Amino acid sequence: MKKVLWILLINCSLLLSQNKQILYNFAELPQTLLINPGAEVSHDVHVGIPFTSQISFIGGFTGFSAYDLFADDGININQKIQRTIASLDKTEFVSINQQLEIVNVGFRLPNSDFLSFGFYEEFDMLLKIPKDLVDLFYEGNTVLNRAYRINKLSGSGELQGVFHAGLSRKFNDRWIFGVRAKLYSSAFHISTKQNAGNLVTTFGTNNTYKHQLNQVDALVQSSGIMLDENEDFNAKYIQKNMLFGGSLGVGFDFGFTHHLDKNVTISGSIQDVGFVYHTKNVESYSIKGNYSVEGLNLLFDQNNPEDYWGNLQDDFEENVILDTINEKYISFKPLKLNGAISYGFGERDNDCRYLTQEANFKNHVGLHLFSRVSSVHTFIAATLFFEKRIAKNLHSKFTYTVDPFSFSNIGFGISAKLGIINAYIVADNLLSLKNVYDAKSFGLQVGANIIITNKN
Amino acid sequence: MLKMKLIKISIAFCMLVSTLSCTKDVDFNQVDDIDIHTSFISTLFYLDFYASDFLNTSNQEIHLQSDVVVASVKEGMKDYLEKIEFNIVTKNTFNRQFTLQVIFYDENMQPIYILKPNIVIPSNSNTKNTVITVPKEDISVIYSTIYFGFSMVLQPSTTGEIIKATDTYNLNIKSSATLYFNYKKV
Repeated sequence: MKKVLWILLINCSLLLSQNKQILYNFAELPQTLLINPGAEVSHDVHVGIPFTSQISFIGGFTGFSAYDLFADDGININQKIQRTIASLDKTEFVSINQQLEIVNVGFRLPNSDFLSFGFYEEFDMLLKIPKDLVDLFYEGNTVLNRAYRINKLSGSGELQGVFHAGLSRKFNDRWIFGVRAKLYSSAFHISTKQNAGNLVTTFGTNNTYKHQLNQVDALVQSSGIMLDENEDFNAKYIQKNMLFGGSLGVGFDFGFTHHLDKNVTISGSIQDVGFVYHTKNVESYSIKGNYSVEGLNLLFDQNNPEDYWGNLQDDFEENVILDTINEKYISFKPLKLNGAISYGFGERDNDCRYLTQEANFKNHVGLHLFSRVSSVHTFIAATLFFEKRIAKNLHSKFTYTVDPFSFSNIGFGISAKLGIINAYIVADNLLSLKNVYDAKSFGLQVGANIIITNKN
Repeated sequence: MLKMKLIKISIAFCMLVSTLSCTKDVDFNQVDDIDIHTSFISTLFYLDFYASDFLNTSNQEIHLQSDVVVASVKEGMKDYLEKIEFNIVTKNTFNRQFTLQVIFYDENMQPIYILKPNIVIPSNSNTKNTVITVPKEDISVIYSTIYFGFSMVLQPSTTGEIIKATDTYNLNIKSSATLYFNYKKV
């Protein structure tokens, strides 16, 4: 059991962020419209094969890999744990994003706009772990005068269903704009952020030691987790909450593609400009205050016995206020920003497209930047990519990404179309295949669509 | 043509994956060897007594004084607690010796554990540090404790001198506990 838990812990940390750098603008796949609603697509109709049009796992843990701890190298595991903890930065973070597309349909309108809509399930989690708390767990509080801060402790996790509808319009041969509206139905949500305060132990005045909680101010908000007695946290409950039964929110994606000239294209998008208003099974906890204690001052007064422990508890509760709050609250979605510039070159297919349309080129090379912005944590990733159209219906893409998880992230994607059936698979951090246990991050998207392009 | 290319790419991809996809030796059985030792210090009780604290209203010496702290110990972390060390620091300017005994009582006020040895505070003693260890096998008793009793005994004078209200002697006791954990179990 112990082993299973440890392996699960490590593997969960590997199923790890939300950067879909390979899928972005790749092969005009329908799923590119979910990352950039202003992406260029030349097909006329697409229907994602239900539950399989996009299965996506992305994530990473900046701290350590399974190999760091469990390598069969003759070194005692306790030494490796000590070494790993010593190498941790002031704050490490774990990020997991999983998506499952249930429905994805798109078609070209008579005025040539492209309308797409659907529904997907998404689990997203990000947790920042301050080194101070790791040290407190690992070393205890025996280092006097050291303030163990909770300032950087923050995190959020949410499971939600997302209904979406987007429209992209080609204004002219150079500009395409798109917008996607989203309706979020949150099954459950938990977050904590902007925490402050520290715990410190010093030599005391009246007693040997004094423990202090200084300016503690922490808040944990949750919805959909603390249930009424007549509700059970089961699959039915989650399903109901994800299908308009949960806390609801709205959001928008915006995107564009701009052909600077016949070779150079820039594009960008901003995803999830929105919020969820948490109204279902809301329960939040806040703790605020200052406190210091040197111990119990024994009086040995048998005529007036003291309730030492009760008095200590009362004193603590007077100074450190712990509240349970049932007020509805708003959570803002983490923003995802994408930007890319690409250069097309090589032989072009003669498919009557306008000369400036970069999709004609067989090869594209470029730079893609991604940033996830949230009150919990913000990080940036940069990707160099090379996309090659091997045949008219066979595309490949190679990427090299630098992100907080790795400086050596090589990714590969391939998309093929046989008749009207399209299938694709993209994965990153392939160098970790040399030793999967040494991977700190991993991303995989796989899916199949029916794609129809009118010949005329 | 496309099918051929797809086949070639698939073969190449499979070769790439089969060539590259491997694992270096790992041994998850090492979980059994994890031995993380952590210790936490906790402040406990203190007292500061003067001559008047050992006299009754008739200015007669009180030889035995006691006090009780009601505090049930939570079960959390019980499986990981290996050892407890009580550290008692005393300083006594009285020309009398004191003995302090700490007794653990259950919910029926029955004594279930006594910290041994008793804390002996010699007369006219400077700062003295007494360490009392509760071994792992006795720790479960601590978790059954509801009342912590303290008995202070003023030992008889060897010279016949008695404490007077005007004496400026002082008895000072400070204490802390160090809890030693071993996160061996998961």
